[in-house]
Amino acid sequence: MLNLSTAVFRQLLAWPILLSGALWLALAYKLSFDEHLGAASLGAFLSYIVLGLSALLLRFGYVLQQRRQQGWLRQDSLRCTTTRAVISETVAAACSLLLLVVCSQLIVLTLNPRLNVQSESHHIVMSRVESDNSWAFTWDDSIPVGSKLCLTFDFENAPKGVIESSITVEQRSAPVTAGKIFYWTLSANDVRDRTITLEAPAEHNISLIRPIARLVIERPPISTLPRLLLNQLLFFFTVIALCLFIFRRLKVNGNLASMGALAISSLTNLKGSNLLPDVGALVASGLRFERTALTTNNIALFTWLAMGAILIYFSCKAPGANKK
Amino acid sequence: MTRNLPSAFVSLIIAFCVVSIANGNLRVVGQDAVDSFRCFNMYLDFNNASFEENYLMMGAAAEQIEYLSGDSDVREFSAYMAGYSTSAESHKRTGRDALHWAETGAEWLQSSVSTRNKPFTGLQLAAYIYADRILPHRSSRLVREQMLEVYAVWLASGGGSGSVNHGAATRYQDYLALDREGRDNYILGQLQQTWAPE
Repeated sequence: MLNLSTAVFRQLLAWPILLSGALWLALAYKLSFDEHLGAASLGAFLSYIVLGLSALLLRFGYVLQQRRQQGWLRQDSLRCTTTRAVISETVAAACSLLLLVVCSQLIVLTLNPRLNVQSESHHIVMSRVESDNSWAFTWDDSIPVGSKLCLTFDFENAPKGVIESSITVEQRSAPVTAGKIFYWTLSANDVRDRTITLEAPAEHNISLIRPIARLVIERPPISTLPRLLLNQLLFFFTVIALCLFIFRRLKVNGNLASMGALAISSLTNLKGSNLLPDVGALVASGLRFERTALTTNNIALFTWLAMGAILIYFSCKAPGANKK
Repeated sequence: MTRNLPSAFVSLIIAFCVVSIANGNLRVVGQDAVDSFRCFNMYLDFNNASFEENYLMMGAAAEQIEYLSGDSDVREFSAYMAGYSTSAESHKRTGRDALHWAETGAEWLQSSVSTRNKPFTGLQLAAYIYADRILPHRSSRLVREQMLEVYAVWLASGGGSGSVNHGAATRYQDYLALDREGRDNYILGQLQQTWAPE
């Protein structure tokens, strides 16, 4: 089984692929942390790594298809061909992704890039006016607990002498002062519900300057990179399993299987759908990274991994998968 | 026929994803990388445009960057360069040209209100462009009202985060203590005090 894993791994990461991977990493680092033009954000770097992992998955589908066409090279050496072949292929694919992730971590660890100096990032949230003195805010993504809602209130029409008021959310209340930005720290319940309704005393007649608020979210520090990369790996574990299931069990072309696996896993980001566990934040990257990184809850994560394990189990049970 | 069913099913899912991406309901894995790359290119364009003093290009790139990354600082910088800094008399622009660019800069700042990632970005600059570059050449009531409104909003937003503008909250409270006419005069007085020298 080890021999087969090694063979698939070597087929996956042939020299040209390794060279391309190294070049891609260098480019990703440059594009993300360039002194003048880079975003200086881990999100930008992670987005290129996700693209690299996706490319490796497509390569995996191609290799599977090649192996099928070549008559499953070296598979005859296994005693229990179907089960062990699937496990070998899973191990080979996971190891190739792991290699990319480890190299990404090493390049950042070695070169220690400068990150954005601002410790917080700002994101826009639109409001819905419930009444003259209450406003509802909703957002799509899961955001970290402890994020703050930043609002600017207008006291222009408040009765003379009123320069302080209060904002209430259910049982909680906080003071708001004219000329000062108001910050509301979101509780675990607010974050889970993805909505919040703020209310001000009607007699104070204060209003929002603009019908928008900003979410102020703490930027993940560079020390969280290993965990972020591990999250990506865990996400792709189930994508690999999905690819193998489509390829082995449904007997679909390897290239199509890998594209299908990527498409199905992307459905975790589909708005308003609860078909798949909410694990899109595991591959949080790019511009949404600061908003959603490290927000996946454990239940969703374990459900996702369990799905991967079940898919591998069913792939192992595929009848006659070792036959040409 | 049944042999091809799984392939057709997978193809259908891929097609569904493509349609959902086009509708904006889905972000496919790796799509953020494409946006990051686009953003990098936009910064490159912005940089080149600022070297070449191509303000229209700067404004267009800033708009794209703001849309992609939520970074409003580039918009503020392009409005400053086009509408304030180079509209000064020391830059030897014709009066008409300077007024045109000042109005363009103010328009850029006003149009980005709903996409601005920070509530206070660009407000003070917009007020200064109105007061210092537009009003002396075009004494319209609308411009004056826009200037007063923008400055009042800037005061209400505390003048920005950090300690640089810590006096804005007190000034807003002083402003609120006045009647309608007094408030306008208060803002005009504040702007006259802080107008940057040419």
